[in-house]
Amino acid sequence: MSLAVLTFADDPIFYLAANLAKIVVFTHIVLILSALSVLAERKVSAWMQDRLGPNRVGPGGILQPAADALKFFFKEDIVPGHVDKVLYILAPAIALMPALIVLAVIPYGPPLTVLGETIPMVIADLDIGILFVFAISSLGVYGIVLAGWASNSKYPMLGGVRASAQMISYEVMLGLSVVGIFMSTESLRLTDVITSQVDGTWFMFSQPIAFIIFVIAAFAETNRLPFDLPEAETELVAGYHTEYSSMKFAMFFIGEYTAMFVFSALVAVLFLGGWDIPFMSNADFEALGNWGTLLGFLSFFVKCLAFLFFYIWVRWTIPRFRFDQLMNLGWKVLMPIALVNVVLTGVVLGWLGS
Amino acid sequence: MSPEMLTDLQALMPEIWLVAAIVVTLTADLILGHGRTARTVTGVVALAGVVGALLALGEQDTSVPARAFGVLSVDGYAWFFRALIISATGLVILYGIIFRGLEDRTRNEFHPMLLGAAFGGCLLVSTDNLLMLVLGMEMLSLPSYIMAGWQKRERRSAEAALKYLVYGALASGLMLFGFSLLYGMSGSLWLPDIGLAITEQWELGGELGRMLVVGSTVLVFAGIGFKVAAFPFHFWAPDVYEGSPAPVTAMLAVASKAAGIGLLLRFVDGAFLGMVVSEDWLARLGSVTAVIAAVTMTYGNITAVKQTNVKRLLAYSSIAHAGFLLMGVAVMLTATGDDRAAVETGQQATLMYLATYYFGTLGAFGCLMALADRFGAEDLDDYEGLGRQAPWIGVMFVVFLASLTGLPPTAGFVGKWFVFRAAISSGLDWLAVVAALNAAVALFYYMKIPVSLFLRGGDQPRVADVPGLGLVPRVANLSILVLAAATVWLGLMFDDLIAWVNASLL
Amino acid sequence: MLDFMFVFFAAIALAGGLVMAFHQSIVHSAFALVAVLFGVAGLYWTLGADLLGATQILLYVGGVTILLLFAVMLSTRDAGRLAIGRYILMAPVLGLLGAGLLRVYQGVIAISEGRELTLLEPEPTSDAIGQLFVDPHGFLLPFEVLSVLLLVVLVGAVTVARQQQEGTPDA
Repeated sequence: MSLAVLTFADDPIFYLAANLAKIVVFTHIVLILSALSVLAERKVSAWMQDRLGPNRVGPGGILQPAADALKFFFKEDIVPGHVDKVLYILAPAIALMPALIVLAVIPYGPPLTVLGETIPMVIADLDIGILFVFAISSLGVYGIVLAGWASNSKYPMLGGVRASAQMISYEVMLGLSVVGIFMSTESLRLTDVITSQVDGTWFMFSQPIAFIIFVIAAFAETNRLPFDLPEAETELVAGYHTEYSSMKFAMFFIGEYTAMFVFSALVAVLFLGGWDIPFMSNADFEALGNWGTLLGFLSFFVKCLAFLFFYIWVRWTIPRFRFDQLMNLGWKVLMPIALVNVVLTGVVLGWLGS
Repeated sequence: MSPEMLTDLQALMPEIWLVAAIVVTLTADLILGHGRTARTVTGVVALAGVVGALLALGEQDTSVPARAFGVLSVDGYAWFFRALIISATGLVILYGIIFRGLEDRTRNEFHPMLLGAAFGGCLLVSTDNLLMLVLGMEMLSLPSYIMAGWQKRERRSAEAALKYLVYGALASGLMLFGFSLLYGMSGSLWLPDIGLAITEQWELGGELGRMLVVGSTVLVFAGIGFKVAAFPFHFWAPDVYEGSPAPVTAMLAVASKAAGIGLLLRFVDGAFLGMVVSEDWLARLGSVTAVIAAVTMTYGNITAVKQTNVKRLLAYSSIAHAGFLLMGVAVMLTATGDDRAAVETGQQATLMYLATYYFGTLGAFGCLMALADRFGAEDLDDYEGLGRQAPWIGVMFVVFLASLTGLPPTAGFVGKWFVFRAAISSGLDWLAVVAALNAAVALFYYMKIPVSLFLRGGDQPRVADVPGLGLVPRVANLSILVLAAATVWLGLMFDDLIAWVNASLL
Repeated sequence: MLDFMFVFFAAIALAGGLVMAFHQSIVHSAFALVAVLFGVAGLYWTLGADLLGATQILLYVGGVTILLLFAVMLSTRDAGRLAIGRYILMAPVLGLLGAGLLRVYQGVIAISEGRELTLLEPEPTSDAIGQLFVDPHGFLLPFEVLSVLLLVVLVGAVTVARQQQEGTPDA
């Protein structure tokens, strides 16, 4: 299905306004959700450990993120004397940016119709969508590596080195695992991936191996337990952000949770049908008009939140891997499986095609 | 599969054999581990791959030039160079099996590297497409860098790998840059189109256009000059040749150089001679090449005189031989206008010289390895008296050195004769004189080896004799014998060789 | 708009290149290399080569340079500083080379000015590139050769880099 895409030539002002609105709205939704997921993390962990968790600020503790943010703002911003200033200051920004850029290509819902114009619910519907996602999210490692190096201190350094090795390794599995999906959709465009799932089965079911590998790699790429070796508290104090304080520390924090959201969104788009609701087809969504858009939008965010919950759930359930185990798992187990999956998909597709 | 595809694949059969051998050796190594069985199996498979490739090559009919996959030109010229490269690789594989310097743990992985380099060389000489040229070049170079450092525990080997890699990367970069300029000029990756664009720029582009032509040509020639170790780009060669494991040195000196020359000739022919190019431009390019040839051979020979390590001596002499090979290229470029006959004289001379150089160098390295294998001899001093200990190898060594020098009853004389004749016929008399002087210098240092082998030293050898009694050393010695026989035979009956070379001209 | 994008990305690449060449710390230089590669990827995008640009970032920025940075970071801090003074002697040679190069570029510009250029509407390239990779008369052979190249070089690199376990005899 090709979306009727509004271009600059059609109506420049409307185009600019629509795109600006999309950028502002989506970025804010995601950032607020990231902030809330910090709270969710604490709540869920409390719940799993039979505690109450934060419950003082606002009803049920809902304003806790705002309080945290205020605290970060008013803390003294310490730049240790032994750091490499330029890179030290640059690092948190670099850590946050890729996650925000990737938000541009994620389809949040079916196209919306405003004033007779069809607006796709994605900021930039790139033809090479998934490649762009991987390309940009691979930049995230620079923030960590540079933070580790610029801090000029041994624990951050170790964290940075670990992070670069880990993220480069798992990027490979991330990319390989989804090859099968694009073989069956014959497009790298994320909206095409979703529409093919809306009318067909979710890739979670037709590509189960890819799904499992992708999820594991997503945990490693976001440095979450069980793969949080770059910031393993028991070994490295706090890893790469040991020397950071105040808002700079907060930026690493936001970056991490935004990256979590991005990967949740990717899992939703690639494997859980994106905005799809079981038993609805593309025609149904179109028939419902803007209500269909709203439904799809909600469905998408429910999936994202569910996966975010899964992130937290795993964190408080599974212990940390050792570094050699992490590397062995990646290169000796996941990569061969991912390659076999590609071949298998090819065979099945060829068999179905003939 | 369409019949067209089938003919394309047919043309690629030798390369397919090589790649199949790569895959099978890797798999065998994976399954069988590093034991004796694995070593036997991988060695046999690698040799079988080479033999298969040669047989497939033998079946090819190149009387009608064919194109394969749109990027390969499978003609007699490609056939000639592929035959040289693949057969040289086969011998090097044999040498590699008996060479003691390779650790047994990594011996199995050595074959895929060699076969990969051979594969790259074959592609390099059969393509007239810039993209494939680059790929073939990398396919040939990258495994070579790795092989140069194969003796990890040897400092010299590591140094060789590093030097080769750094200079090689620089040369590749320069060549790629030149290619990008050529592509920008012509908008095509195909050499004849590029030749057209070069003519156009030289004739109509004004001063800037000429600048562009000169710039891109210099860059491309720098890259190729590195590969064949010609004068200003030779400085990697001695250290790399000396430090690399001896089989690798043989590979670099023969297969790699042949591929470089093959590329150079095809490039010169396709990009500069295919069209009616301004004579002025070609004359300049030709005289520069002639000067480079003269300097290269003089430099190589004069520095070779001082050497005491035999491998290093052969390395410098190999630089000198690059100079002789370039003489033919200079002749090609000085040929005026559309005088195709003169161009072919130059080409013929280069191919003849290369063929004779092939036998001489491979044989000399074989003898060097055989002596190193039995006696651990590396320096000229070590060689003292070895001729009496191992008369067969000693005599064969002398034959090969005589051929490399260019003494009459051997193939080397024929090669030198053709090169001299070509130079004189195209008015490059001075170059012929320089070359003759160089041959005299070469005689002086080459003969230091036979003198050591037979005339120096007492009855007691300076180094212990550890006769290799396995089957492989015998096969290797036998192959050296065949090379020696061929060297002598070609020196006397060279009609077949001439006919073959004439059938292989571009 | 296109002009603005071009200038923007070209400026990033150039600035990165200058920092890379002249900064005393290797880590900073390596990081400036990221800017160069990113700027070049941006130029690809400006020219409508979306797949190429994304691949450039994915492989060179996200992969190769990280490894480079990795290697630089693991070497000691002192080695991370270059003495520029030593390279001053090379300046005349490099300057000469640079001047020659500038002339060559002048030639390039002169040629392209003579050409009729039609600005095409940028359109997705991934499909066309994919087709070329499986077209027997397109890039099928180069593509396959590349896979052999990577296989051989990978095996070779691992073999050379693999640590020899001390004490284990060569079986």
